[in-house]
Amino acid sequence: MPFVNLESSDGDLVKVDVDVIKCSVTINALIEHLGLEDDNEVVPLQNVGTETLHKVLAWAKHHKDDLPSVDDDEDDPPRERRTDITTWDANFIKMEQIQLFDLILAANYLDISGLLDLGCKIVADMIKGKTADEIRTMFNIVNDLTPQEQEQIRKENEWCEEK
Amino acid sequence: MEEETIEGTCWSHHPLLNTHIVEIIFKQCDTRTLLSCRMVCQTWNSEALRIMARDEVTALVKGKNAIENFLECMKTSDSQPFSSFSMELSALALGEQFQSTYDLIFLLKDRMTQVKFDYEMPTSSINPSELEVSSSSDNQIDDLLDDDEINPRFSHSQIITLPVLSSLQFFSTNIFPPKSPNRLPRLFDLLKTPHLTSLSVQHLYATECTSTIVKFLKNVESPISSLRIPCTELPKVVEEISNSGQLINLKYLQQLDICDLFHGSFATNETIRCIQENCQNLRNLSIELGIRVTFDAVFKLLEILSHSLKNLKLIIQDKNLLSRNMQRVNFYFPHMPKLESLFLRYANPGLVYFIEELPQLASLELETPWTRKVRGQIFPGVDSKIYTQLQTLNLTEKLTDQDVRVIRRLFPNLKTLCSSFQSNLAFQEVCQSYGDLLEVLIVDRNSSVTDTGICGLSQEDLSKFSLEGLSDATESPSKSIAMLNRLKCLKLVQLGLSWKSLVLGVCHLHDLQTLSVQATTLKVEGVDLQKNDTVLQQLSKHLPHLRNLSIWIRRNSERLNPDEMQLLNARYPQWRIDITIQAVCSVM
Repeated sequence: MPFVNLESSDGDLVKVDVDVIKCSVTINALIEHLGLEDDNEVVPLQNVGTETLHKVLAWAKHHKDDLPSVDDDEDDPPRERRTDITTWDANFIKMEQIQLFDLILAANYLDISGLLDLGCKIVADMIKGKTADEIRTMFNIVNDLTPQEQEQIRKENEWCEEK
Repeated sequence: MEEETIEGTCWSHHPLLNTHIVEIIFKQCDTRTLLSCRMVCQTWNSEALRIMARDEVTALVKGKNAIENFLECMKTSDSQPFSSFSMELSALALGEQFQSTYDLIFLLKDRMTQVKFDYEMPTSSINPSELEVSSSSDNQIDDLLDDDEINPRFSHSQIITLPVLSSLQFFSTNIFPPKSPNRLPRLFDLLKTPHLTSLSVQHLYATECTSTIVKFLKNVESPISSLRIPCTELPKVVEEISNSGQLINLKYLQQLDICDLFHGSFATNETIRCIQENCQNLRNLSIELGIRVTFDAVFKLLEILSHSLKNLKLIIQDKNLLSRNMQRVNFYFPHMPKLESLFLRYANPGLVYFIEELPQLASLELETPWTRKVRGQIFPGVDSKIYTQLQTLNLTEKLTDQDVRVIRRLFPNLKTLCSSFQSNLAFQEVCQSYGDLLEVLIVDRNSSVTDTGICGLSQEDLSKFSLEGLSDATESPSKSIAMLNRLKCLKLVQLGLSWKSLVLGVCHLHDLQTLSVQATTLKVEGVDLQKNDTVLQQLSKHLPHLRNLSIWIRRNSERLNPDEMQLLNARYPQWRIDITIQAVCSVM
């Protein structure tokens, strides 16, 4: 079984079954580009720390056998179902916000759409029903809107507010 | 480089300011959340606006005073990203507060590309003078709209032209006393839509809407491509337009849906003639045939549409004279080289249809609602042809083993089969015939399929099988469901099977992603799952791709208790579990 050595930004080497990490478009492209034939070759991942890399690999391992989904559930509402999260994924994604953001950045860098969707779904759930102030505080985002811009947006949004 | 920090961690950029990541987050948000997100920061504001505009996110204008509030906001801002709207118009919004509704539509007129009006009829606005108008000709209505004297409510209202509107839907489900004559609210008569391509008018109860439909069709400058109107309206609309001396342009209509919700309104021979003469390039047609429609007329219609039709939904009304007739009736579909999907609902047990002239047919759905005294034909009467294109077959008929053999010969490349089976023999015939082929199998609730059919062992052998004999589960008995080794979706709808069927049969389907079974089937000898979850363990062990487990519950005693649910979620987190309590399942 072919393996690949991934080097985290912390300098740690992690040996991974190619079959497990095939979900990453970035690593697939690197393997193809570098033509890794030797098990000792190393793929450097400058943007992914060791802890996050292990998380990514745990997710990838669990979803290794996922088949591309078939459109077989015509009597079920497919859109709603697709956004459902399995209990495994829900348990997996239970982590501190910093770790979650690192994971999202890693999924984005490694181009793993399933994991990126999962992370973003969690963030989407977190912001649902929250005010802008609450969102900024929760995620430590700096408000760079001018008071005039804020007032303008507030007026534009007024129609949708609960009365 | 500017660095973003959260509790000591730093990124060169905050992950939630990365536009690609923000876009994926926003795609999963509703309109209200997206609007809140605009207030967070510059990046989120511009991304939210971009996503709402690009994805044509619908602004849902509903609730008390929604029209007035939206109107106020629109007046003070022109940077709203919306072009698609869904407006719930209360009786008040169309009655006393008519002016606000009018003003709002007027304000949105240059940006509105799609709109759905979900409305309540303003009963107070129906007065004798208006009712008189409802039955008048289109010219009279135009005269009326120009004449401010007749109805003071419209005295300051001009016609609103919506230059970019392409899709318009009227939808109403409110209930009126039977004798109350319903018609579309007058506001809608004030709309002019030169570039409309799709018009839909749906009412739960009969509503006079001919003149409104006529007005929209007469005013379009480009051809209409999709029309969904009450069945009875089509001939009236065409007649009114031709009486006015104008040519009706339905030549480029691609989609016609006249299977409406009206009680007792179905297509007549006149409707069919009307389609025949005016809509000759249809790609999709949905039609329900009334009592006096003849198959000759249907044949002629299909012949005319044969060069364009891709999807056909044909419902033959239960009370159709043909339906009462138990004698054999042959219906030959004409040569239709492009037809890909055919849905046929009919009640005549003697109907035999011939599809050999449909070379591209990929999906065939047949619904026969009657319990029959005389068995009809579930497959074509002439069996000389082989339909290699057909991939989906959906039947309500109970199949015998002989039927399955014929189906296998006629449709050798089926990937999806949904049906009931008259016996284990019939079911086993499917397993043997379609091994390596079928990807989706739905065994409907009327099936007489037992454990023996599913796992291939006789009742005697099954009775000997015990938990200790579980190692046998790795062997795949012949004549069992295990032969369908490419199956990705299996629904055993309300079949009271025992746990042994799953362990000995279903566990061999290693590619299975979706499984639907009865709650009782998951339990060993009826023991609660928290005491014995052997069956679940076996499913988990042998079905690595299983992600969706649907559990049917027929009666209260079958419900899973909280401990069992907790066990399911905790021990089998990889499954998305849904519980269906209703005993009703539609296969269509």
